[in-house]
Amino acid sequence: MLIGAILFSSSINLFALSLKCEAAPNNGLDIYFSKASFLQTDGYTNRSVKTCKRGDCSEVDNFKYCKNPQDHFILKSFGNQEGIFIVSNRCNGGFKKYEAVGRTDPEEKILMEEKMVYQMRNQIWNSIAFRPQPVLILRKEDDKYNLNIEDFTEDLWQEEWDREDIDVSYFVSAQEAMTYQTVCKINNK
Amino acid sequence: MVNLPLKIYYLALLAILSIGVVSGDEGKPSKNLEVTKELLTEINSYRLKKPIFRTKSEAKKLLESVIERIKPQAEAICRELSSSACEWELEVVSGNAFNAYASGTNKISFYTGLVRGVYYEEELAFVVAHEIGHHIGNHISKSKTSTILGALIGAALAIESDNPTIAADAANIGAYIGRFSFSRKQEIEADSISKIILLNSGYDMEKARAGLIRLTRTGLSPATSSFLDSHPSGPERVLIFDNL
Repeated sequence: MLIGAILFSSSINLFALSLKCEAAPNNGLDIYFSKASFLQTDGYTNRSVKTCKRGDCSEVDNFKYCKNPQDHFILKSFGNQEGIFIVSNRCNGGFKKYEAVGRTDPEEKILMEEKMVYQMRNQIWNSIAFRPQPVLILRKEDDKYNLNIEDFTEDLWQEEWDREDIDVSYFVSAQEAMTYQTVCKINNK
Repeated sequence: MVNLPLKIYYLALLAILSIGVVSGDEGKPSKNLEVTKELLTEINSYRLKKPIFRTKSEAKKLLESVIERIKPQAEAICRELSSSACEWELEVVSGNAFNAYASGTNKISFYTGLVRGVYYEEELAFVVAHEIGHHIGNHISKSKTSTILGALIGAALAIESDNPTIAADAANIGAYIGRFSFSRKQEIEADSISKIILLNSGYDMEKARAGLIRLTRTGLSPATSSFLDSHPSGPERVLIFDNL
């Protein structure tokens, strides 16, 4: 009986929206682990070596290879509300859970990584490594979806959140923020 | 017996390559040989391809193919520039290290990790030819001074002094290399010999350059070398490679 229920449940449409997105073009600079999940790259940097001579500093970024780089990644909404999404990692495999934030808009969704949102909402900064993840902005246009992959900025925080009093200087400044664009198509598989 | 005119030809070839005039950039302002922000940006944004996984037999096959291709050119250059025996004993060592080294009078050892750590054949060829370059330059015997690099800079200045721009370029690279310590000059000399071997073997130099950038990005290289370093820094090697 239970097995039957499990088998039948698989035929229920758990994924209201299933998209296959192309890895986004980029200029090769500042590709950190969290961005490598979405960008066209065979690797990422996680540290830099800074060399200074008489106050003039230069940096060389290291390069770590992705375990299994793919040319696309998957984005699927979980449940019918399209409030929770799972996003595959095109660099190292695996999935991350994203949730829609901000006002409900059928044409546009702003998705942020769930763990990061939880930490910010509850102001959990101590003893847990905080890893900013890019924000995904998904817009529907005719039969395709445009996806913007953006650094998380203070501006976005103030726009989308109630707790504006929290110090967000840790995040990328609006001037230095990077945006990458790609397109997604309905994944019928 | 050393064929003197041919030796002069190779020194002149090394010299001409060393000052970056192979494309005939006559009239251009002389280059400022410094690791610039632009070069660092290019290195930091370079699209490195993930190395191809190769089995031990595939690794051995690739290494043999590289050696077969570069050996005639390496031997020809060795006979002109070196008094040592131009035959090298090659050894493949099992290990994940991205490394190779020259030892003894004619021995070169390669780790299998080196073959598995590259994408293009040219990257591997550059390392193999670099190690051969250490033997050609007689670098293992530390008591002997390095003469080839000095000769090529000197020859460059002597041959091309009619053209002030070219002479200035030669002086720039000479002055730039002059800053390095003895061991770092040996590395530059091995890189120079390696580049000539690869050029004569018909390899794609852009792909060989990718190997130097890979070494820079995966080896946690500083932007510039300090006094006690045994090797020039990654960006310095790329800069010199571009100007050879």
